[in-house]
Amino acid sequence: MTTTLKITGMHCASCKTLIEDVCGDVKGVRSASVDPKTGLAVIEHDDALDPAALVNEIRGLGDYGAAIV
Amino acid sequence: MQVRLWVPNLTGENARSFEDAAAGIDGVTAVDTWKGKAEIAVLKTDAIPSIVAALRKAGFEIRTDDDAAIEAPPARAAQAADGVHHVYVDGMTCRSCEITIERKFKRVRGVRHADADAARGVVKIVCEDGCVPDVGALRAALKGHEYSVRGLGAADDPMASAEKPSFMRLVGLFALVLLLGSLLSKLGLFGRQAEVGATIGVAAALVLGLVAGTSSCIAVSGGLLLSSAAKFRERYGGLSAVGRMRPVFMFVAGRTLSYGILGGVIGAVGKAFTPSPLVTGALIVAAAAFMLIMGLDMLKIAPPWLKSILPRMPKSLSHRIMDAEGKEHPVMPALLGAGTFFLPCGFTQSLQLYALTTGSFMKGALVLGAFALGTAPALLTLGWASSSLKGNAGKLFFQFSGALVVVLGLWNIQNGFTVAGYPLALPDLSPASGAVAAGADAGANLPKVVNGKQVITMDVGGPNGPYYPDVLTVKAGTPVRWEINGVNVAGCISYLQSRQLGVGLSLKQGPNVAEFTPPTPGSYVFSCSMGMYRGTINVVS
Repeated sequence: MTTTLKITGMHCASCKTLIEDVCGDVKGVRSASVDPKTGLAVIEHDDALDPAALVNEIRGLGDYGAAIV
Repeated sequence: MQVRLWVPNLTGENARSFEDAAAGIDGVTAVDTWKGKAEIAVLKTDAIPSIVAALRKAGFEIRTDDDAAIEAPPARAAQAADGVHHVYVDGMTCRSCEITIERKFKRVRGVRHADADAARGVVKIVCEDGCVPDVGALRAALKGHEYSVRGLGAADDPMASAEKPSFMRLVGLFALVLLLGSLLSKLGLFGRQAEVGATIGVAAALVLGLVAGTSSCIAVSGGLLLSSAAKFRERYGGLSAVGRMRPVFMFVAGRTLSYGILGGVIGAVGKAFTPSPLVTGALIVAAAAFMLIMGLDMLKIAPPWLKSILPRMPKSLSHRIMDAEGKEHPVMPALLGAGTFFLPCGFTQSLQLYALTTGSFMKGALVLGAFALGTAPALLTLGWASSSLKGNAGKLFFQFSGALVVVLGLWNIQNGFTVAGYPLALPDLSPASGAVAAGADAGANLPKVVNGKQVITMDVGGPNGPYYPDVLTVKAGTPVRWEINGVNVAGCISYLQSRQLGVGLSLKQGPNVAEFTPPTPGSYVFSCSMGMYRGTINVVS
């Protein structure tokens, strides 16, 4: 399934890299792509994965807000 | 589910590393920290013992409300053997870069912990069992990202451990620099001038260089050396003493060579290198601005945008060079050293004038080359001190040099603008200040007019100061005959210039005359060729 997250607090290309990287490490995620301009992260993952875990993961970085769209 | 952990040694400082450590453990989905305690969200309860074990391994004391439930294996005793290393990484700009790099490095074999600092371009790595992280593996970990790993630095490198000094410490450092400066100038060290007679041998030039090495001439060259050696060391902090001294040697070698060659050229061509005051002034200001920025950087108080205006190698080029050799191109400090030929200094200027009279390439080359060689011991000592002192002494010396370079930078910016004819109204940093001004009512006493010319007189290099009086007053529109008595003219003071008044002449011992017609009323500055010594001509209507 595909989950789209709205991410706030991104300010540069490294943020995009970091969030894609972090999401990619979550078990069950197949691909993650972040658009720093729109703040939208499109994540493809197994149905077993609870999207809330992704939100937690991104919030856990400290500087970002994340919400399921 | 949420689990509360009691972590007695959790503080504001290590909270981030706790969070990083916890977030990296399998089964943990969220972490929250307070002083002395933490809450983690876990997927399954039976993961808790392994989580606690992993956090203990990362150096945290962990207790839970129900200790019996998490009988974890004891923490390893080998932690003391873990080695701390500093890795220099280019390209980090912000917090996300830090986290990205920390995450990448932690996956490298043997790396237990990574702590990146984007502002300093350093990542602190804790390696298991005293292992040394493999630079190749670290590079591989960052492959595909916009970062480049420069290499390992020494853990006790004052550069790496130097924190931003406190405000009071900064005040103290600058006070110390200014105090030493005024003390030395009171002792006449900065005022020391070179006497170049009609003939000068190679040995005499060498001795002159030794003397110049302890004079104000070191101000520009030494400042450049200190800052470039510091930069070099920060970027490519090699572990060996020889490696660290290399930029210093390159600097001195480049300087000696360029003095020799250009001295020879002056001798052969019979033309001194005397660019217009505007060009000289611009050169001084450029060198001074470089020193100022580097000095602030050494003190860790340079804002990032300031550093970014320093010229840099194009990224693609520097990547290629660094990937090929793993270090900076060694020519950089040598070029900087060679460039010091064009920075004015009283000693070199009088030697250049001498080389001019020799009319031979060999003689000119030998004299100036010997002079540059004579300044080498002072420069090498400076370079050695900046590159080999360690621990607290190194840190103090480093911060002191930073403050010194900043002060020298400011002073030379002022000098440069004076030479170019745009004196700045900064508080006078010149050690020559304090010369007696020519009375408060100077404006009222206009000079007497002889043969249609206003006659003003001034002593140069006498006991009353470099210029006496150093404030002169004339009437606009009437030609001026400026009678200058050379009491002791040597060094940069042997050239008197004022771009705005169109005056520029080499002074001889005894009487000299400069003539000009003051244009519009105002205050005009005149100075020696370095801009170090200054005076004012007030033009009234």
